[in-house]
Amino acid sequence: MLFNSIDFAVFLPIVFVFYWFVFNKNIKIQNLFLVVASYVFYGWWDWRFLFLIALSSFIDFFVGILLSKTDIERDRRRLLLVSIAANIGILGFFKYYNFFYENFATAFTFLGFSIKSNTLKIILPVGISFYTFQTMSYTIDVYRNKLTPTKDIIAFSAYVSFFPQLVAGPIERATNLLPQFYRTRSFDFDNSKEGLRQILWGFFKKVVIADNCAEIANLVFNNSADYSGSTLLLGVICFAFQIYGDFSGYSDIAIGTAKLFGFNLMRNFAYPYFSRDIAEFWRRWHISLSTWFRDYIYIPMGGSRGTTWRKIKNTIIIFTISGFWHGANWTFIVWGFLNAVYFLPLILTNKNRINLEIVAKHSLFPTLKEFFQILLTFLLTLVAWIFFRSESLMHAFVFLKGMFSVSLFSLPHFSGIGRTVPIAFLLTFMIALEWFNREKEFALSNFGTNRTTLYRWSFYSLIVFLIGMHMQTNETPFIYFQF
Amino acid sequence: MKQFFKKILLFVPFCFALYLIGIVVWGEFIPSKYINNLRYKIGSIGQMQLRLQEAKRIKNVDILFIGSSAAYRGFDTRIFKKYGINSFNLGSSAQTPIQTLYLLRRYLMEINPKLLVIDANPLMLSIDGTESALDIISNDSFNKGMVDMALSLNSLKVYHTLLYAWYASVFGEDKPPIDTVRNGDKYISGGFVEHELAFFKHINYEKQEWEYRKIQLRAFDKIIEYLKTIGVKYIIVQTPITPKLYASFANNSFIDSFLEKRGSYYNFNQLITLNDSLHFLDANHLNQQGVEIYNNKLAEILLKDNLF
Repeated sequence: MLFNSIDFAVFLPIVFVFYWFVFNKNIKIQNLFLVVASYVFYGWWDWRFLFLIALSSFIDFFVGILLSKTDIERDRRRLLLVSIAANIGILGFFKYYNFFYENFATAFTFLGFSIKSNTLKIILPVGISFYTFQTMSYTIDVYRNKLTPTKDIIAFSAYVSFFPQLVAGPIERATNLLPQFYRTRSFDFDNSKEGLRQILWGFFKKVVIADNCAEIANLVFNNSADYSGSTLLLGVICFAFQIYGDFSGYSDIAIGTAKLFGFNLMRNFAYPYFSRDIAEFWRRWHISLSTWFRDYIYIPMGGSRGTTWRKIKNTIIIFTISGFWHGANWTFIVWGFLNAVYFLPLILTNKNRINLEIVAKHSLFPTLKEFFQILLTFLLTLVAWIFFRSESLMHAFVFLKGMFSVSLFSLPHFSGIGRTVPIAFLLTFMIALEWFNREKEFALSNFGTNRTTLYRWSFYSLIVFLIGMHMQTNETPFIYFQF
Repeated sequence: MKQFFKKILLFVPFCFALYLIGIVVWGEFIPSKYINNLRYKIGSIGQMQLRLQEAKRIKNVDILFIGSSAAYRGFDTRIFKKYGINSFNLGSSAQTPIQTLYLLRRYLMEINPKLLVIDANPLMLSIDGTESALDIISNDSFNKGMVDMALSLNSLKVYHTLLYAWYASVFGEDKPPIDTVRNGDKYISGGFVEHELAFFKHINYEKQEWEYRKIQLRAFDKIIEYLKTIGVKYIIVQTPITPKLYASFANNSFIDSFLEKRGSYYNFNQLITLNDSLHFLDANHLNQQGVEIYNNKLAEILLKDNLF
């Protein structure tokens, strides 16, 4: 089920009413209801893949139980391997089988061997990369004795399948989310209001910003050979805001929806395009995934400790894996690698943690230096996004060649690429609102608390109106569903 | 919780009221090219405003033609006049069965034709009908039938345009008259639109299939049901498209079989021989030379078969 669908508009109020008014007497029943609702939410897309979520949940639940029953390190390690193998196995088969097969076949053909085509028509289950990582984090934390394994299978199933964040995150940690399923939840008026505001802002970013930027980005990327360098640049800028609006919008809707049910999910985006360097960008972009890789792969590998070579190796590995997590295509791997290249100078000069505070804190505008730092960081991400969006490496290189040509200094081909004026206006509106509220969790967080109700409600209505006027007539799925 | 619901119940009408004001402001002041989900465009392609103004005055014709642009560009009422047939053309741009049903319910009884000729363009079965609905809503006077049509389409763009049309009908000025000649199209009294004589440069097509939406097939059945209920005699025709394009469709027999079951059916792709380059202005529309051949043939059939 898509958040931006009529189905969800009906589903959410029904679940909300049953959750707070019918199943509120008993925490176990309330959790069970959430599991059922979450399975309905997921099954709406394709019920056949529900068994994968159930399988992943059962394996990690029982691995957790067994981990609590043994102190023998060898056995504990084996149990951990069972969980990792099962989850990575599911993910590997559904997401990476064809990629590996095709690449092996290409390599063998290159060496003169003939390989019969044996790729499979595999449907990629929506959200598989998210929930497998979420369940693995539970087992790893139990293995590391950071978490007491749960004996409540319903709470655990609810943790794995919790519908607001099931298909595109935030990738929750068991240490944060699971205990919330043990506690009796009571309705919090202020938190729910905040949730609605976050949902509204998430919808604006998805439906207005992302879907409209997609119109230009798709046109430019799909016909990149026809456009000048400046138009290609415009296309990639639109893609940068498309992916930001799409994914951070989803996260906001997910976090806001969770608030309506009395849950607090982790923050996933913190105004990444206001970052002054790439290290800051990665602390602000897809935070739940970045920290997952940091905590479960990067730090166990030694992190930024040790020799220079080790730092370089770890940085390249972590970014390349992160790229590969996004999709079974060399374009994602190069995207990850390129970010590692951006990151290395900072980590090697120990400057990767100099911009920890929000930019221009307590000031209205950034300094000139900060402005240029933000601009440079944005331009670096743009080049990386070209690889992320392109169909193939060849496409990306041709796009880059076309963009960095003399025609980069010509006027973009505005008239041929859709409604650029309203999109520019909407982007300015979003950037301004996010800039002036960058010290808050999201742009509308506690919006206008010192203003009148009339002012606040009028502003919310304006956003509703902009959504209505600019939404695409067909329901467009979220980009990150494919990951 | 009570407070939460109370706030929501107060906010919803407040927001709705501002939304309506926003639609009016948007429709009045923002250039249409910058608006995504509101398309109130008087005139537009096909001179629908002139046709509907005329439709309100026309009564008791021999034949009423209805259908998409293939109809308003394909049935020249002047040619039928030569055969002593008094006719009116109620075609409109991209008209799907949903809009045909709306137009028939609104105008058929008044126009009171002896025979209705429905141009069943298979292409119109594959589209959702939004663009045609916007054309009609913008150019017809506001009425309840528009609401039914909007509900059956369930499109935000149609709802917004409908709300603006309602506002325009209550508070707006009269719709400004549009020119009878626009972009090479000349509106001929009686509903036909004549395009400057042009010739299509034929192209080859990949094999393809007509697609269709169930909602449009259902609407087509509703048209037939409606006509039978009120007892209006009708025939179904398919206006020719370029022979090469027609031949590229692998499932023409499905369309024929669907239409044959719903009334007397004449597929002019098979009844007359036309040339891609000589008789068409584009792949889907006849030029004036093609219109003459087509209309003469149709008039002969109508007279020979005593269809009205």
